[in-house]
Parts: sequence; C-alpha cells; structure tokens
Amino acid sequence: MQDKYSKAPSPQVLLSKVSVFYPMEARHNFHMASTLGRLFGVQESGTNKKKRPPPALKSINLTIQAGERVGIIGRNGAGKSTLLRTIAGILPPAAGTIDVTGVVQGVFDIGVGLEMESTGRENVVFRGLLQGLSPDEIAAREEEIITFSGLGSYIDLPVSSYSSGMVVRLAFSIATFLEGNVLLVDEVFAAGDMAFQKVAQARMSKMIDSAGLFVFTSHNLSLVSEICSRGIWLEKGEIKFDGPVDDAITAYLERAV
Amino acid sequence: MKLKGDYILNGSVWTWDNYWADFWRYRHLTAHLASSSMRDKVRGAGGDLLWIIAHPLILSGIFAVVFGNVFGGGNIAQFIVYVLSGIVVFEYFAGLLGGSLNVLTNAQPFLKQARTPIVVYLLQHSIFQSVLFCYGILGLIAVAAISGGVKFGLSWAVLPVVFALIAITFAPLAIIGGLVGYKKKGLRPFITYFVMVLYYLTPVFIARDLFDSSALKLFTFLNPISQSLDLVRIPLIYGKLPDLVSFSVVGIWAIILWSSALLYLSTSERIRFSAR
Repeated sequence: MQDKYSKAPSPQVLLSKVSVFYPMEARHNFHMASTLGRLFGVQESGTNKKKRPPPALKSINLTIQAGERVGIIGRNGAGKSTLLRTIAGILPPAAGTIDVTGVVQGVFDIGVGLEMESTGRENVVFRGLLQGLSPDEIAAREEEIITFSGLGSYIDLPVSSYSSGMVVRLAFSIATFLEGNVLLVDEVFAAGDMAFQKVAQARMSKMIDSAGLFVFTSHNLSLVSEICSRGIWLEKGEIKFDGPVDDAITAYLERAV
Repeated sequence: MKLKGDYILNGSVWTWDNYWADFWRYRHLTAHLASSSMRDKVRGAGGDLLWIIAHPLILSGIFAVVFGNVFGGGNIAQFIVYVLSGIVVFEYFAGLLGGSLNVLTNAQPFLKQARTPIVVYLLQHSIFQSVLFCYGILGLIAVAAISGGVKFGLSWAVLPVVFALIAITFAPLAIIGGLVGYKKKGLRPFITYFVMVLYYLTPVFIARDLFDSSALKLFTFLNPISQSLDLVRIPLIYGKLPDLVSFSVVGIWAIILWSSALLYLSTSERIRFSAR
C-alpha cells in the first residue's frame, strides 16, 4: 500500500485548538408548549431549559506525523472515539482547525450500517460505495473480501439469516480491505471465532504496517503498548498526557484508574 | 450554536466546487440508496410493483365514483383522469416533503462511518420519489388514453416539459424536509399536518372552479401544486396549451425552493463559496 501512496504527500494530522460538541439538535428543538410559553413571557425551567451541551473535546492541540503509531486511552466518555471521528471529518469542529493530509480510512463500529435484508455480497458492494469506491474498484476486491470472510455460499444469503459471528466476520472483512494511508481504528481487533481471530489479527497487523499513519483507541492497554509507540491519555475531552506509550499508560493507571 | 471550526482535507475545505465533486464521487452510492428505497417500497407492497401503479388508479376510481355522485353526474371518465392527475402530482409533493423528514435520522449509521456529503442521502430520496412519480405519470397517461373522457391532441406534446418542470421544482423539498426533519425534530408533526391541510386546500379531487372563490383565489394562484395541476390538466384533459402564467409561477417556485435548499445545505455542511 505504501507504494501506491509513494508519490502522494506524507500523511499528517494537525489539530489546532479543536473543540467538538455532540450534535444536540434532538434536545434543542421546537416544542409548541415552550414556544407558546416564550411568546407569553413564561420562563422555561428545569430539564426543558435550553442548555449548552458539554464539549466532547476541549481545545485540543495535536500533531501526528507520518510513520507514527498513536494509541489513545482513557475512560468511557473521555472523547476517544469522538477524536477519531473528528479526524475522519465525520464530526464537525465547533472551533479550531483540523488539517489532514492523506487518504483517510476509518474502521469504526464495523457491524453498524449493514443492510440486513441484502445479501453479504450486496453489502460488500454497499460498504465499498459508502467509502467512495467505484463499482470497478469494488469488483476488483470483491472475491478477495469474500474469500477472507470464509462465508462460502452464505455470502449470497440475506445478512439477516447470519449468526452474529458471521455478521462480524463479514463486517470485519469489508472494513479491513478498504485502503487509506491515514488509518483510524476504534476498538476493532478481535472478530469471530478463535480461528478467524487469528487471521483477523494478522490482517490488522498488515494494515497497520502498510498505513502511513495509524491512530488507535482501545481499553486493551497491553495491545496499545504492543502496537503503538506514542500514547495519548484523554480525560473529559482534554489531553492529560502525550508521550511514549508506556509512560502514557502508567500515568493513566496511576491517576485515573 | 454557531460552529466556527474548519476541517481541511488535503489542503481544502468544502467549497461548492469540491462539495459537488465529492457528491459525484458518491453518485453510485446515491443510485444504490435510491434503488434500495425502491426495493423497500416494493417489498412494503407485498413484492408487487404493479400494486404501486394500481394504488393511485384504484384510489382515483373510488374518488371519482363517490364525488361524481355527490356533486351530481358529470363526465365520470374525465373526472377519473382529473382525480388521478391530482393524486399523482400531490403524492410526489407529499412524498418529497413528508417522506424526507426521517431520511437523515435513518442514515445516521452510514453517516457515522465515513465523511459523506449529506446531500447524497437527501438527493437519493428525490430520485426515489421521482421514479415513483414516473410510474404515476405512466399510469395517468395510460388511463387518459383509454378513458375516452379527454381530448387527445398536439397539446399532449407539452406534457414531458410540464412533468420535467414539476419534478425539478419539487425535488429540492427532499433537501429542505430532510434537514428540517433532522435538525428540528419537533417540527415534524407540523409539517405532516401542513401537508394534510394543503391536500384539502389544493384542487386534488375537488373541482377546480370551487377554488376560484374570492377567499381562495390568491392562495390558489400562489399554490405551486395548484398551478402544476393546471399545467397538467389543461393539455391532458381539455386539449389546450397551458397558461404561461402557470409556467411562470411554477418556475418562480423552482427558483425559490432550490435557492432555499442550497442555502440551508451550505450552512448545514459549512460549504464556502471559495477556498481559504
């Protein structure tokens, strides 16, 4: 994969004073009672009152250069997945600048977004299209993905007829055969039964080796230590530590856990 | 909350040029989602595509018989075409506006996977509704041709232009409805109610003359669906060329709706007119 991107500029991620708020449109909404109340000067109180949502990321400054393997650690709700999705351009920043160079490939919630009434093969095409690939590019990889999934003749049956393990195998196979030199992985490493986990881990290792830049979030600290050289500890949307991965894990364990 | 951050990918933010270039990159996904919506629609009709075409025909037949008797005699064959044209055009409008309210909410699992222009999900709904509209038009033309209650003539030659104008005019409602339905969820019941009220304030199945009373005249003149129905019915049923005023009113609505949709899209997606 590196050959493919050899003529492209080196991958890089720069975040400058980036703040992100969760989309809160569902709460901050139009309600007839509150609108009429405002018209007649009645003050809202309690849970109905329009409140500014808490920031998921607070003024983050971060630079990730080509060749870096970065592990992001922290408690649930610390902002790890939000940070990855912000780098991927999925969540818009409320303030600050995100400057990404490279072809971004995110591996998030791999089982989410499959079309359950469509066949496995149709989902391969669908997920490829979702990542912006052309039908020709998908066709070139289709058989490889299907072979890797090990689903055999089940690939032409609706996904709704699959066991949960088969769904994970399909989703993992699709997600990890897409290309990019800025690789963002959210908690995805183990998939399927023992036999498939082995090939899945080998596949992930190959992806990481070929990625120009790798950012990974996980609660599995030994795995983070094994595959990353730099560690970032996030707490309540702020960077508490940024440095060598083992030092980051030590700081996190001493001060947060 | 006003968002002031920037996302710069490979040196550029989303401008109108590269936003539509991104949309073009996802054109196959757009087509896939539209055909997927069509599949769901057919599945919802018990797997029968013919039912989708037959449904408005049966409905208009019932309306024509019931209201033909209520308002006394008249040309039932002509009234069936009148009602069917009303249902086909109004269902296109209602399907675009009312049907788009959940589009972005339903697309959330996909939108969380990759940076995709949301217009992909909004325009796929326009395409899906336009395909249904085409099926409706085919049914309408078939009924008009065999009913014997209409005047067939050269005026029918203007119908492709009329249907294209209606399709283009109302297509941006999917963008507006989709964004409002997602960002202002509390407005959804009001929009559904608005569509229902508009159904009765538009000559869908009630005789057109009744809408020329002084109370409704101005509203009917400004109502793009009423004007669209005049554009369809005058050549199709009465064998005459439609009024240029109707073309103008619908054309102005096309400009208003597209401008509003693109403006709303640009603020929602933070599209700029030029690169930084």
